[in-house]
This record gives sequence, structure tokens and C-alpha cells, in this order.
Amino acid sequence: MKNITVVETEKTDVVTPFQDFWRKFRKQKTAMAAAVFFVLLVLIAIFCYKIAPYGINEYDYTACLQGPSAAHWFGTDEFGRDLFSRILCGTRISLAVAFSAVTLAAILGSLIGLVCGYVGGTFDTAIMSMLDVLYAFPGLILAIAIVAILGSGLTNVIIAVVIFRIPIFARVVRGCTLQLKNTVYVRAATSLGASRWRLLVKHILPGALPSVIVQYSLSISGSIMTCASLSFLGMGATPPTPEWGLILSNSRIYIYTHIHYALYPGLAILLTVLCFNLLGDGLRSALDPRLSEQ
Amino acid sequence: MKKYLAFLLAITMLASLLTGCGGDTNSGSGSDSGSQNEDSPPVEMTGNCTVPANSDIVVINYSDISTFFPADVTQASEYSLGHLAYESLCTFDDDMNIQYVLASGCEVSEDGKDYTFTLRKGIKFSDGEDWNAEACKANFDMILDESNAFLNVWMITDVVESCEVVDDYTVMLHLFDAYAPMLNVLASFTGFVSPALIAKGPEAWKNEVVGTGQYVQTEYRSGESAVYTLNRNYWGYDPEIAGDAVLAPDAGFNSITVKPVSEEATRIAMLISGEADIIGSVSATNIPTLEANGGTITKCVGALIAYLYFNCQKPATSDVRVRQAISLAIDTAALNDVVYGGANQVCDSVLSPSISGYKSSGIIETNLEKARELLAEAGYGDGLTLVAWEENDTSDIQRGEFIQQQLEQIGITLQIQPMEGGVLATEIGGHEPSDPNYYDLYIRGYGSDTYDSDEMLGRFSTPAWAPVGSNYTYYSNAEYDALIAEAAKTIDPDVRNELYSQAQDILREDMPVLPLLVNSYISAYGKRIENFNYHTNSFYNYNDATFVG
Repeated sequence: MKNITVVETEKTDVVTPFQDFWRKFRKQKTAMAAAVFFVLLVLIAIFCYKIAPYGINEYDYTACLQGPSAAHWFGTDEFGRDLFSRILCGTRISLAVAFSAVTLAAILGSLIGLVCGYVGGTFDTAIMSMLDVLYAFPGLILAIAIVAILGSGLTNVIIAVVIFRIPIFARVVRGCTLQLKNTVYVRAATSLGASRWRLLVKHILPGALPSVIVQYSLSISGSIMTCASLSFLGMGATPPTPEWGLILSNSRIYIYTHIHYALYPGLAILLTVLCFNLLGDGLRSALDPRLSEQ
Repeated sequence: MKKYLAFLLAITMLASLLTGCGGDTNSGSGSDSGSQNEDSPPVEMTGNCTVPANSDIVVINYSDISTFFPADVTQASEYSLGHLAYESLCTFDDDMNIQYVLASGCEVSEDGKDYTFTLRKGIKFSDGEDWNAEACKANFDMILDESNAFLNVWMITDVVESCEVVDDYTVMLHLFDAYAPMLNVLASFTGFVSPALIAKGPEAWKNEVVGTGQYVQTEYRSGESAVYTLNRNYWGYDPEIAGDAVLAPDAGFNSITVKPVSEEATRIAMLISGEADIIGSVSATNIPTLEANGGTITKCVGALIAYLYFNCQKPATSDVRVRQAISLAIDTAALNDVVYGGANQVCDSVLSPSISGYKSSGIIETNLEKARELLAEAGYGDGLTLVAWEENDTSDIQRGEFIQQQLEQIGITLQIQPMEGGVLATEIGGHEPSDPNYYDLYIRGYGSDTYDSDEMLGRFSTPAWAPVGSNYTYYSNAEYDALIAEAAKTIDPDVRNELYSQAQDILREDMPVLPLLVNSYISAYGKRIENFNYHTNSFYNYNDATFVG
């Protein structure tokens, strides 16, 4: 029996990808602020019905259109409903619609992008041209067209968002796949006899993940806008859902007389969208390999 | 790669070119009718008309127009435009008496079945055709031809059997039976079209506007605007033709541009900025804002009633107990205060007080206890989900939301589907009453044209089922139908009113419709106009207003 000698090598700092990301992300103050706000939004979305001081459909005809006060922080609407409670509970709707739609779009889009990028050839050209046609439409107009065909309602808004977000994810992932499929480690895996599926999921997809995450965050803000816009146009949520776009839409005729009514749902949309955009920018700076080289 | 790019570019350019063309042909479809007048509106001062040539005003409507053809118009906004270009045999004056327009007089036979009209001489249609007995007969023949399936002539086709030419300027209408409000029906009809247009057939009827009216439609872009230019040779300015009905030489405006803007805040902004001169559908909340910004408010308590129609052919709402329960749950006085700032009046009958035959049935007192009991009796104690259709005007949506809140108290979940007015009109024609995708409740206003009970109560009879008539309840009661038919034939006003009183009792009992509020029309006008007001029949009165520039 041979003696096994353990050779102590010089200790090096092993940095996991997450630690690396966190180190870069932490440096950006605006992105950190956005992240804190994001956590707050998620907490609100989860606990909104518990913390809302009034019920969302709790009307009081004696307190219609009151300005902000101690009892009603954001004032009341034309039926005397508490705007603060309605906007809080609207958070859940906006986030739920945006996250479910973008998650679905990310999964489907990534899958299409992976397969197209890997297979290549006519198949790739055919699928990607089709997606390019979808991509060429301005997002909101395509969403309106889809909702016009399917009918109004939040479920159809989700479907519309999924459809027009798929090409974006597919393009991003396809690009990464084209880059990665010729790298040494992928070729090594191929020569070791790894199955195609294993190659795609285990070796290529993780490489594309940072780009997907950045795109995900940016898509969320866009989807919140789309959802609010469609509801504002009467094609999304139906009354009395406390959807932000719908509240804003109802407030229109009071814009000259009761500005608070339009102000708060508008602010809610603005801050949320801003939060996700800043978060997306922060993620991009921290994750994008091309940016980090500079 | 470059080749592909060039190809892609070529395709894109081609596509944009094609869509560009498509847009043009669509929007211009209705403009042929008056294109010859478009370049040169007759500004020379012919005849007596002295309307200033710069008096071009912009009027903002809240809903778009789906048709201009008099026999097909169903929406209030369509009527009001129709009256600019078309005229009927008679109309209502400001005291709601009959005033002759295209006719100069009328004699009724003793049995009440024959109406002999003397037509006014010297009137021409805007395409140069003469108005005479032949033109009048051509119109009635077209209206009475059932194959045309017009949307809004049932009040005439139910009554008039035929039209006969007596001489060049005399026609006789033969009625199936004596019909007391015949002149009211003709006064409410939008008007007569040129025989040349009739000859062109249904395709032209949809797009062209050729009448005898004070204005000529010179331009129409679907969804954007309709331009009405003053006909300075209009017969109404000529005392020799018009006689007592002659207009002041400066009555009217050089042109009236009507645009649909469904958004109230936009309408208000347009008036304040001077982009619009008259805006309709102003809600009570915004009156102070408009007055503070130089707008003047004009109001009219119309004959327009907001109704909640129950679809009597759908399972739940066919049960009278459900209908009564809903009626007991809705607090109409609160609706008036919350949504309309108290500007309207609570209904105490399906009729508004201005309609002949009106009888107060008393305001329905809200009683939630009883409503819940009735619902439980009908088997809906555990809750019920109903679908309501309505127009997507802002205050209409709020009205719907209010009703939604009220019904929630008795366990009814109301799903509201707001639709654009034109779409709504098309949808209503496209369903069987019992279609599961059709509405259970329909919330909408209805304005009387004839100011007679035969229209306002007759529309709940079986022959008036939508889309032929305006019975959106699809209510059918033989006893009720008989009362309406009987009253229409009765000339004695006291007997007639008694019959209508019974009819109103039946409606209150069976509750196929819940009258909510008698609406006030509120409009505002800007600084370029003075003394603008409504006619009593709730159309705009452009002739008494003054243009101050």
C-alpha cells in the first residue's frame, strides 16, 4: 500500500458565480434601492388583503371623492371606496399577471431559442422568421389585436403578453446558443457522447441564463404597463377589479376636480415600472459578460 | 446578407404601401356623396341667407355613427345628425305640437284611416331632385318593402299600408287601422331621401346622404368626423316657400363638423382649448370646471330614461321574482346622487312625465329583506351570476358599477361588459334572445321621439322585440299586447290614457324593465357661440344660437 500524501496547495479565493454577481450588484445604489422596493412590492402582493384598512369593494356613499386624510390615506373614489386599499390590492393583480405571463413566455421562448440555435438550418430560419414577424409589431398594438380576437379579461391579457414576449426571449437564447455550441467545453461534452438534450439543458442553457434573467426583469415592467394599458382601454380587467389601469381609467373624468384620484394609481404604476427597469439595468451590469469586461 | 436585407426592406416598403392604400379606401368610403361640394362650399350670398361665411363650428359627440340612413338610425347621436340633412313631413315645435315641414297641411278622414298630405312646393333635394308626390311615394314604398329589413321603421310599417299619389303635390297614406299618434310617428322619423338615392340601392344607402335639410353632408371619415355645410339655398330661408315656418336669415352656421370623442376629459380639454365649440355628454362633476374656464352650460331634462332591461328569455331573469328582487335592491335615488351628482330625476314610471299617457306608479322603495326572500323563493338563495351589457361611456360604466354594488347586497354577482355604442348595436342584432352568450341585463337609456305612449309603452310588446323594435326585454304578454293594440286605435284621449294606465300597471307588476332615472342632457359651449340651447325634443337647436367669432 502506498502512502497517500496530501499536498496542501495554496489557498485561493474560490468565488462562486453568485458571489461574483452579488459583489457587482451591491455596488449599484439605484439597483439596490430598486431591489428593496421590489421586496416590498412582493410583500404587499402577498399580504395586501391582510394589511388593507378597508375592503376593496367596501363602498360608502357618504364619503365619495374625498381627498387624502387620516382615515383614507389616498382619499376615496366616486363610490367612497378607499383608494389606498384598492391600490394595495391592485399590486397583487399587476404582479401576478406580469410574473405569470413573463415566466411562461421565458420558458417557451427559451425552449424555442435553444432548439433553433442548436438545430440551425431551414428549421431555424423558418421559426425565427415567424417570430420576427411577431417581433416587428409594436407590443401594445399586437396585444390589443390579440385581446380583440380573444375577448377582454385578465386571462386573455396574460395570453397576449405571453405571445408578444416569446420572440424576445427566443432571440436572446438563440444568440447565446449559437455562441456557446462551438465552445470547447460543449465540444468536449459532445465528444464524450452526451445526448443532445443533456447538451442543451446542462451545458448551453446555464450559459444563456444571465441574459434571460436580465430580459426577464425588463419584460416584467413592460408587461405591467401592457396590463394597465389594456385595462385602461377597457380590454383588460372588468369592474370592480382594483386593477391600476382600470382605477386610472375611472378617474379620468375627475381629473379636473379631484386630482388625487388619478394621481395615486398613476404613481403606483410609475414606481413599479421604474423599480423593475432599474432592477433590470442593475442585473444587466452585474451579469452581462460583455459589460463586465469593460 | 445584403441581398436578404434588400429583400426584407422591399417587402416592408411594399407592406407599408399596401396598408397605406387600405386605410385610404376605408376612411373615404362615405365621402363620395358630397365630394363635388368639398372644394367650393357656396359662399356667395344667394337668396336671403346671411349666415357669416366664417361660422364654422366643431361639435363633439360621444359616440361614433354607424349609419346615416333615416330608416336605419337607432342611436340618439345618429338622430341628431340626421336632422341636419334630412326632414320629415312634420316635426315638433318647442311646445311639442306638430309643425309641418315637407308637408304644408294634412287632412284626416273620419274613420282615421286615411291621411291626405299637401306637400310644400319649391323644395329640392341636395342633388337637385324635386320634392314632390312621386318622391314621397318612392320613400314610403322603400320603407314598406319588408325585404329591405330596415332597423327603425317598425313604427311606420306597423301602421301604414300604402302610399298613393293624388296629384303632383298631394299624397294619401292608407293606414291598416285608425292610429291616433300617426303625426307623432312621422314627426319623429328622421326624414326623406332623394328618389335618385333610393334608385341606387342598399349599398349607396349606407354611405350617401342626400336630403332636403338645411345642411349638406360634405365629408365623412368613419370614426373621425362628419362635416355638414350649410345649404344657402335651403327652402327654409325663402318666405315664399316656407311661409310661417321661415327661418331668420342668419339662423344656422356655415358648417358644422361633428367628431366622436368617447372620452369626457378629452372633450372638456377640447372645449377649454377652443378646439371644440360644443361638447355633449358632460357629467355634473365637471360643470364647475367648465364654467371656470369660459364654457357655458346648457341643460335639458329630456325624455331619455335610463332603463335596466331584464332579458325575459334567459333562465334566471325569466322569473318575475328575480326581476322584482333586483328592482327592490337598487336604490335609484342613491344612484342619482353618487353617479350623476343629483342632476337627474328618479323614475316613478316607465314613462317620463313629458310623455302623453304618463301615470305615476310611485317610486320603488328599496327593500333588501324582501329582495333576498324573493330570490330565495326563486331558488337563487345561494347566489346568482348575471351578465349585463352597457355602453362604454364613462358615466355608463359607473352606473353599471353602482348597480353591481347594489346587487351584491342580495347575493347577485353582476358581470359587466361595456361595449362601444356601434358594436353594441351590431351585437344586439346578432343573437337569439335565449343565447347563453347574450345579456341577462341590459342597461341603457332610451329617448322618446314621438313623445307618445304608443312608442314608449308599445316598445315592450311582443311585435317590438329587438332588433326589429326596441323591446330589449323580449317580454311577451298577450294581455299587454292587446292593450297596446287597442290604445293605438283609440282616438278618445281619456279612453286611451285609461288603457295606457292599465298597461303601466302590468309593467310594474311583471317588471320586465326597471326604469332608473330620467336623464338630463348636459352640454357645454365655448366663447364663439351665444344663446345655444336644446330643442324641447332634446336635439341641439343650432338656429337660435348666434356666432360671435
